[in-house]
Amino acid sequence: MHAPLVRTFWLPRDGNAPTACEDAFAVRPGWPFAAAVADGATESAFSGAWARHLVQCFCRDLPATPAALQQRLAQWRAAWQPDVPAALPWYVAVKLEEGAHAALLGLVVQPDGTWQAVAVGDAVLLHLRGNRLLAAWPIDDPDRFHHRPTLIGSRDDGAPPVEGTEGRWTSGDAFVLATDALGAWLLGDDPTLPLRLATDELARHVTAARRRRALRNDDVAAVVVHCPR
Amino acid sequence: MAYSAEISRTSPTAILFLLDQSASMQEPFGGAEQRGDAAPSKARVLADVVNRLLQNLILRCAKEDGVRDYFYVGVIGYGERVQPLIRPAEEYRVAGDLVPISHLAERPLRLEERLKKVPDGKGGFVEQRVKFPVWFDPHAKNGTPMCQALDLAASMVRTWIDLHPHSFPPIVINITDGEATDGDPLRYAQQLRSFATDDGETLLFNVHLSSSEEPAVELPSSVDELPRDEYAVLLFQMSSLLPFTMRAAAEQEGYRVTMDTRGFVFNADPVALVRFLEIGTRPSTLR
Repeated sequence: MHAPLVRTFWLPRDGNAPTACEDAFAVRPGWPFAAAVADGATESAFSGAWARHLVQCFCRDLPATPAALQQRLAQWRAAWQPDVPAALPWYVAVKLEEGAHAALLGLVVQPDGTWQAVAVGDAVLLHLRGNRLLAAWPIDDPDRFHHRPTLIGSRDDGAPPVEGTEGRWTSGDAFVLATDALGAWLLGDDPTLPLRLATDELARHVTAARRRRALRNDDVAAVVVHCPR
Repeated sequence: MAYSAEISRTSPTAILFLLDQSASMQEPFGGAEQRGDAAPSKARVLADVVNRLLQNLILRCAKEDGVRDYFYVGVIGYGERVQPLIRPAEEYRVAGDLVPISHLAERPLRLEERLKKVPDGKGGFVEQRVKFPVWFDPHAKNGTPMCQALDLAASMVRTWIDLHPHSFPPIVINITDGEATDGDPLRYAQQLRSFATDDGETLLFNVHLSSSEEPAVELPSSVDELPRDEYAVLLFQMSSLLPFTMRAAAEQEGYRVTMDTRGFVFNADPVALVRFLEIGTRPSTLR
């Protein structure tokens, strides 16, 4: 059986350079298949680099349950060294002390027809079958997104609350992993858009939705996973 | 919906601080742990408050590669004179006499070393040396021309709005002991608040530093919550209602708010007021 096929999508917030995008994604091809998205917090420094580190660690270690993720966090934190300039302005020194923060959503798809997901924060997993939304997780209501989510901190000692879920997939199912602004918009509009639109068309839809303020102007990232038929 | 414009580098907003520098600010601050002569002066507390407000505002905009100009800042002192205390460099003239926040971040008057208590990871605290940026020192002389200060603020706000008609409305934070000596500040406050962008009227928040030792009050919804102090009542009446987005942020932080909650604090820490402005995702663990 073929492993799932993926399509990835990201767009920095309007007015920002692509290099300033603080959303990240990673994919582990083959079986078990894994994908992750992370969303670095606007209000912490080095959060784009922290988000990239988290998705890479997830796709390497595949912690598919909350307990497994909690167990890995100390190791992931210890292994992360941000690229710090030699002369630190006072405000960067304070931000470094506070640490970087990001939301993380990870999905593991097994060849036996099961899947597991873990999440900290407000990135969203959509499970779709035949152009119909089966479930959205951990948030299924576009009005429940806000600006103060619980995130994974690079310097926090404690364990953030990790949520976990699992289910079964069948031939032709699709998953969309989306960071918060995109997830909220898809839930309130049409969750199947990423399946139906080519990447550049999706980008045009996102830009247009931002202009009419239906989609919050924030970095967006998504991974679209097509399960084998 | 009003007060929902994005605050970003392409759509910045203005924050104007009005600092009471009158002679009465030499009197002791009533909200301090120390009492009587041992208490710090209101002028000392004001300098600390404005330095911390600026520090917090800058930290909210700071990233690894610099400070993003989400805010343009003006500071007006009123006492011996009514005058802007920071001047934009020539290249910033376009901003209507306000200074981009990155400019302030790079140019504090000095960096002081202070001791800060931080968790030691074992349930206790250790003292850590931290750099505290200082932009303003205490200053107290002559009367309290608050009306003139509000009038100057109104003209600066109007210039900003002419240049940024669609931005989140300007925010004016007036820090004072309340005793205006040049007229009725309520009228000037109403006039200042009436200048609006497409997104809403100018917000005026008041921080009352009093010699009274009555309990601190944060974000009250009615005069019944205030101490028996005519200036507290006046400053409460001068203050804007908290807009919806700021009320929601306050509620998330555990403040009890209603539709009538105003941006006013009495002998309390006003830093929360700048935390309630939304500029993007903020970790729930950061206060």
